[in-house]
Amino acid sequence: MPQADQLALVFLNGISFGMLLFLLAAGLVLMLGIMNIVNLAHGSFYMLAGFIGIAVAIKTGNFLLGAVAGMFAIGFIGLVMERFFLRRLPGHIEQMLFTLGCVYIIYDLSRVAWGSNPQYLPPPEVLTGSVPIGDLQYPIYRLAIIGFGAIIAFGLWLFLEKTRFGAIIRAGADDKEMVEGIGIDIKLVFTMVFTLAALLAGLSGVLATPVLTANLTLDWQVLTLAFVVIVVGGLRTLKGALIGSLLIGIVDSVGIFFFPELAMFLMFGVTALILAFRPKGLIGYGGLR
Amino acid sequence: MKTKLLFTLVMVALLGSLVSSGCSTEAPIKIGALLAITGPMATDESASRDAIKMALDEVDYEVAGYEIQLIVEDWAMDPAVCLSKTKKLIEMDDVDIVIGPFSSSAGLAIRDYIDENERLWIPYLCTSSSFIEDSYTRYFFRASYNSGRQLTSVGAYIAYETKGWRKAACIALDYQPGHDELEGFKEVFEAMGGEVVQEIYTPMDALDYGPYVTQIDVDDVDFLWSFHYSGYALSLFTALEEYGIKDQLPVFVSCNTFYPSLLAQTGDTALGIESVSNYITYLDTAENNRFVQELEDNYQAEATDFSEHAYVAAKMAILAIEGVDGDVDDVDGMIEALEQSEFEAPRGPIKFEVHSPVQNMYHTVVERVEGELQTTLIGTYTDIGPYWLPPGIELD
Amino acid sequence: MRYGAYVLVGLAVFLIVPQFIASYYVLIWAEILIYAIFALSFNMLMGYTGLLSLGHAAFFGAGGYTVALLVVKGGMDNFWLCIFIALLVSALLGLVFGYLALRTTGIYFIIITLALAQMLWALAWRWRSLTGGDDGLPGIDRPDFGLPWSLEDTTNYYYFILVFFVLSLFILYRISRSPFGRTLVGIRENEPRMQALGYNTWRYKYVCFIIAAVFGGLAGVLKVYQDGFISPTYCSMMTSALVVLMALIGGTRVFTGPILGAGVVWIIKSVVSSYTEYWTLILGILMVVIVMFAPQGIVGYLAQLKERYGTLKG
Repeated sequence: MPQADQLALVFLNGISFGMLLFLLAAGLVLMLGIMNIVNLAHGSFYMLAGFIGIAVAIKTGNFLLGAVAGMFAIGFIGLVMERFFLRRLPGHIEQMLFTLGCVYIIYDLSRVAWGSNPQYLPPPEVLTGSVPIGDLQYPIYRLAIIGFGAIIAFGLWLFLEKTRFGAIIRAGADDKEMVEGIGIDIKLVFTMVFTLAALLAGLSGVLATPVLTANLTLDWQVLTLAFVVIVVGGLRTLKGALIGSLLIGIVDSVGIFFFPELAMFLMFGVTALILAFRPKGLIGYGGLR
Repeated sequence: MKTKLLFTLVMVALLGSLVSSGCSTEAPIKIGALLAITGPMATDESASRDAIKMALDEVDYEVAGYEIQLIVEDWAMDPAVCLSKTKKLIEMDDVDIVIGPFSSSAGLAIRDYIDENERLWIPYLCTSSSFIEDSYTRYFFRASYNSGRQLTSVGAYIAYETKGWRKAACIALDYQPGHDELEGFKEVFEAMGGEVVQEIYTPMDALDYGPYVTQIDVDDVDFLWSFHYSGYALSLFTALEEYGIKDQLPVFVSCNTFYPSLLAQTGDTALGIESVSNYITYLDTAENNRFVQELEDNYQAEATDFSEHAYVAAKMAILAIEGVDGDVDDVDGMIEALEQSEFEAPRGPIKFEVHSPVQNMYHTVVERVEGELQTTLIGTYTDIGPYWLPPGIELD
Repeated sequence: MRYGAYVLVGLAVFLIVPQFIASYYVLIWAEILIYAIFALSFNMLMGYTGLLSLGHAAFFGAGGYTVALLVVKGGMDNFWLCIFIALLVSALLGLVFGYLALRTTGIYFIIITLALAQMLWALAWRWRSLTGGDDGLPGIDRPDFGLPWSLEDTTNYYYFILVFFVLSLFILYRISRSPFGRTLVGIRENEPRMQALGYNTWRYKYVCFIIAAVFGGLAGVLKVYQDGFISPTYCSMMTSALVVLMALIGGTRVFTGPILGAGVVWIIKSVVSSYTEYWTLILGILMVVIVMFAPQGIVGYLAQLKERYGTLKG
């Protein structure tokens, strides 16, 4: 029989893993909700951000610099992808297939640059160590992940709800013609949104690295996890993604604890179940909120 | 328009490569190597390639007066591709010896085909015990060890006799070798009188080890036994440290886990972890020091268990060719030569029993020496064969 | 009439050339034919209903594992019974997966197919006692019909596959040109309109999904006899992604597109990879180039070229 502190740990794990999933999915929701682009290279962004973040953090000895470097490197790649490629493509399917090509390209370039050995990025000094919970211990960095997730969720909400640019984005998601009608260059808006989403992916990619490590299998793994989250939560809403992440995180953690045999089935099983009964996700979709 | 023309040309060239057929020159002895250069994996196979090249460079690509030609194929971590590439090596290139692959599942995929085509086959890992059972021993000669018996039997012996542990929690990777090693350990450890209280398997694609290490009943067991390597070990050790389990339980690894670049990643999370392995980079023998140094100086590659095993496999190929004076059509002769052979590898002396090495096992602990992490040798167990059991222990 | 000539020339090439090339290339060619069936089946969905499945490997694996289990665990050596059961299992799986997946559309469809296929992959990996886990099931002999030509021979097995390839091509082509196929295209182009015309569009898509599943299963069956073993990579996401690449590089709107796509992708993966370790990069760049410059795929692009220059000359 599991003890109370063990159960507490299981739930904390679920929440922190859920927040981690939210970090993985947030950028994808932006791209999808506003531009309707399914970015299959989203997981590759994370992988690349991790590798770049580690390289810079080790060179400079500063975690924060690594995070900034990963963020801007991916932001730049996102900018180039949108401005020179995605923008010229006629439909969403073509855009998605372009990103599929990018998955293979980013994979191979990373393999050549960093090799196949996995790499680890220790958390910054202040966030190293554990706090006691009952007789057990809980890593501080995982609590920090919960914090990062909350900050990013709140920041995005603030940005979308309270700024003029956010208002334009929301309007663009609902009705492109209307936005163009009032004289706003929707293409520019899209470029900025895609870049913003890439920046977000880069930043979260480095923040997640102390838990995920950086290795060449991450591209597809992260992509499927992010997919699962946004699908469960409903495609276009950040709120949905947040709820979906936490739900999947907790189900995964609790499920593994009580039914370790089913570990490999849990996440996809829950997804398939939810979609079978609620084909538009738990939250369904409306505008971007 | 030009771009479109260029594009068309590229397409035509790609298709054209299908039709061109290979042409062979005057008969050098050919060695084919199956390596996983691309594909999702946790180990760097380019070092294995360098180690094979190093072994051949040492003899100047010439054995018994014959020129040696090495053909490397990438099987991309897909057993089906591995089979297809093996067919390429044998049917197109007509190689005389096949080295690799490392993975047992890919090895099982090509086993029957190799058997039919009667080529000497030296996979440098392929640790599954099914390779040396029944009738499959003939063309197969591995450079590694036997899953569930060698590293794990010695591990069980050390845990029970040397350390005096009685109750184990076991954590292993959820794939065939993980199950083989864990079950092998359990069998021997329980035959000795110990008890395996918990068996936890972590999926290969588990990103977060938190939920798995949380399951460990710290109060109920004497130690944690693990079979994790490379990136998986990295994730496991980090989680064990973070969740404070390493402070409460000794961790023991029955696996070739530690090599310098991994220790650089794990940092102090690996400190104090004991392990048993058949090769350690830090082994202080003349042959090993030479191997580590030359591999690094001439090929900028790291001496890991993978590269050492690949090096030994290439060595075995050379020994086999020498044994028949270059008459590689005499496969039986090559097999006999290897069966009789005894040689000094970087890991120590090797001879063979049922086509699998009899060798030393090293009991080590991760320590910080002069600021650098390394695995320090605690004990050496010599002459450990593929079916080794602790003295006085018998299994049904 | 002109099509008939093309088909005859194509068939002649497929029949005669393997007699003159190295056996390894015959093997590659045979694999291409198998993947061509797989890509064609995928394209029944993608090209004719516009539904992109990221889990098509599930059927490839279902067909393959059924045969492997029947042969290895069941000791069955009747090929026709094996293939019948395998196709039946694929169809049943399509029945279930299609029922669940077709409740959704767009990206939800992509992801639910992915999730369902991943569950099957996990089952293949985890149900060790039955499937052999990641080691897979070795020891599947090719069918023996008591003919003088042993199918263990690469070239003979190639012809065996060729029969199934031609048969599949014929059936799928007839389906695509039938009123059923035209209705599917109508649904792809404008579903509400077809509904307004009184079509039960869901049922059409469902049947199409099952057809795709059956032929995906057939490709898996042929592959498992080709390899003589099966492992979970048969139903992995990598295989699903590969078939997407094949169909799209060849072209989804042209019936022959996926065949050429299968050829190009498989040659890069198995032949080009012998010469350069950067084959993944080549594949990625090719994909990007196709999307940017020839979104109809290679075959679509060639057809367009022919149209343009054909009219100039003629």
